[in-house]
Amino acid sequence: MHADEAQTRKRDDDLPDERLMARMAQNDVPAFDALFGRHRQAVFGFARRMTGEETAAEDIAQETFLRLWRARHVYRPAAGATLRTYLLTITRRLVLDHARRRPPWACPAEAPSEQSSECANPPNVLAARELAERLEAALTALPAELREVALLRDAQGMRYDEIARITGCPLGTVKSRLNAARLRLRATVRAYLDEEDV
Amino acid sequence: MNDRNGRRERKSCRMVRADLDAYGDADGARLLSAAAHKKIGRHLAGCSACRAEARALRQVIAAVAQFARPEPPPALRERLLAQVHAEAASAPQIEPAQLRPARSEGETVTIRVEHAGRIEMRQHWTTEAARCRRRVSAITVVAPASVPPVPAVRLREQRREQHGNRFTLYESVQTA
Repeated sequence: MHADEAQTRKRDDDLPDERLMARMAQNDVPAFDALFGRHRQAVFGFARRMTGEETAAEDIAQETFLRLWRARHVYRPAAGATLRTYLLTITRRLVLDHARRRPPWACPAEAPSEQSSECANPPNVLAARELAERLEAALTALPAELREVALLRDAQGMRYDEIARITGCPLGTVKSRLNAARLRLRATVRAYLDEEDV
Repeated sequence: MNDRNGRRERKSCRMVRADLDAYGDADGARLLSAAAHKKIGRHLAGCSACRAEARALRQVIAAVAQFARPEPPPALRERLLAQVHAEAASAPQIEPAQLRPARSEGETVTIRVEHAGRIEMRQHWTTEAARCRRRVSAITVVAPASVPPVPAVRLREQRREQHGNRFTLYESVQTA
C-alpha cells in the first residue's frame, strides 16, 4: 500500500502542472497535494520575505492554495502564463491585503537566525553568512514595490514578463524597479562584496 | 577640453549603468537590443569603474539567488489536505462523459457563476428540460456545496438573470 502510494506520488511529481490541474478539476486531491509540494516553497517563501512574518506567511500560503483548489473548475491560464505565475499573483494580492490591514506602527518581526553556533565556522563562511543576513535585512528595508520585483526575479527566478504579469506593471516599470532595487542592495552590502576588478 | 571629455565619460557611464543590472541578468539581457549590448560591452572594455559596478551587481544577483527558500511548517500541508478532502467529499464527481456540450435533457451545461463582476467558479449542471438545443429552460443543481442552493433557475442564452441577491448567473451553453 505504502509502496503504491509512493509510486503514485512519484508519478504525480513527473506530471506537468496543467495535467495535475485537469485532474484537480475532477476533485483529485493527490493532484492538489503534488502541486502543493511543487510550489509550496515559492509561495510561502515569497509571502515570508514580503511580510517578514512567519504566521502571516503561513496564513497567506494556506489561502493561496485554497483559492487554487476552489478555482479548479475556472482555471484557464492566459497565453504564456504558468501556474507559478497564477499562484504568485494570488500570493501578492494577499500580501498587499495583509499590509493594508496591519497597523502602521507594527514592524515585521525579524526571523531568528537559523544557525547560532558560529565558533566552529571558518572566517569566510562567517563572512558569507553575515553577507546573507545583511542582504536579507537590506531587502526587508526596501519599499514593497522594489522588494517584490527583486524577490520574484532574483530569489524566485521568474522572468521579467512573468513579473510584469504578477505585479500588473508594464515591462519597463519592472526593469526600472529591478534596477533600483539591485542598486540599493548593492550599496548596502558594498563592504562585503569583492571589489577586485576583472 | 579634458573637462568636456570627463563630462562626456560621466554621461556615458550614467547611460550604461541604467542597463548594467539587466546586462548581467540572463533574462534581462534578452530584453536589451543588440545595439545596447554592443554599446555596454564597448563601454565596459574601457571603463574600470563600470566594470567593477557590473561585477558587484552580478554578485548581488547571485547572493539573492542563494537565499535559503524557507520551508512552510508541515502542519500547513495537513490543514490544507483536511480542508480540501472535506470540500472534495461534498463536491459531485463529474464524469468526463458529462463534460460534453448539452443537447438534451439530463446532459450537462457549463455555467459561470459570477459575483461582483468576478468569475467565482465555472460549474457543470445537468439539464432537466428537453428544450436544450439553443436554450436551457431549467437546470438541476449538480454543483458542490460551496454553491448556494439553486433549485431551478430559468436561463436564456445571452440573458442575465438575478438569482436572489447574491449571484448573477450567466449561461454559457455550448450547443453543437
